[in-house]
Amino acid sequence: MPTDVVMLSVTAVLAVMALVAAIVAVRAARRSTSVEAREAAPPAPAVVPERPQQTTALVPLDTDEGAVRVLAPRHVEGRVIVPPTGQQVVGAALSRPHVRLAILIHGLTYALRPESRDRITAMMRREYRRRRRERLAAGRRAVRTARPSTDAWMAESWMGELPARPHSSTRVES
Amino acid sequence: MRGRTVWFVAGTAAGVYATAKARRAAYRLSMPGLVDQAAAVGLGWRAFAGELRNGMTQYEREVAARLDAHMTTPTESDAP
Repeated sequence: MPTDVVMLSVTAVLAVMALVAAIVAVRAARRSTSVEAREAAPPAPAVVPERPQQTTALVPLDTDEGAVRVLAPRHVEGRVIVPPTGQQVVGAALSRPHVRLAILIHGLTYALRPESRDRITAMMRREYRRRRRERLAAGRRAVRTARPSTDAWMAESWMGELPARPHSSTRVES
Repeated sequence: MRGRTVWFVAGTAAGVYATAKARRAAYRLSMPGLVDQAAAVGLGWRAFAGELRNGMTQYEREVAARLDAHMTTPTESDAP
């Protein structure tokens, strides 16, 4: 038998053993926590679920609407069931995929409504025109700084004048 | 004479209009124009994303308020 097959078999056996050990450890930890909770809790009357389909129903302890709702944990079939708070229920409901999709669709319709659409397009148009105006002004300014002033240019030559000194370096050809 | 004047003015106006349009189109297709258009599109995208976020937040609050109202209202199953 080749060595790699032996190594593979040993590794597989070790993996199975590790998996079994992990399962046993998790079950023991669960059992110990449930026993500790049962011992720590006061001797509550045995709650027999009358309607098993409503074991996760929210049970408000107080009827004051302004106060935070505190929900009583229950013992159901040897397990402690802690009902979620209102915020947890709302958070879970809002994180469901179809609710997220509905929220996204509502956001899209809100962003694409005519007034918002017109505002955004007008903003884009204004931004483009502003940048174009600034760029053209900067170009004109650069040309003006690169060229000599009008008075100096007029003093040297004028349109239609024949070049008297062809080697003049300061003249600007028009 | 009057007809010539009218045609002259019309031709001048058409020339000025076409020149301005052509210059703007040339700027649009140049590299600085493309950069400006990209910047404007970026600004529009940011504004759109902000509006989208506002709409989503508003609807989320509505849904949360509706759920909260539904949870605080006692139902028949909660009644003893």
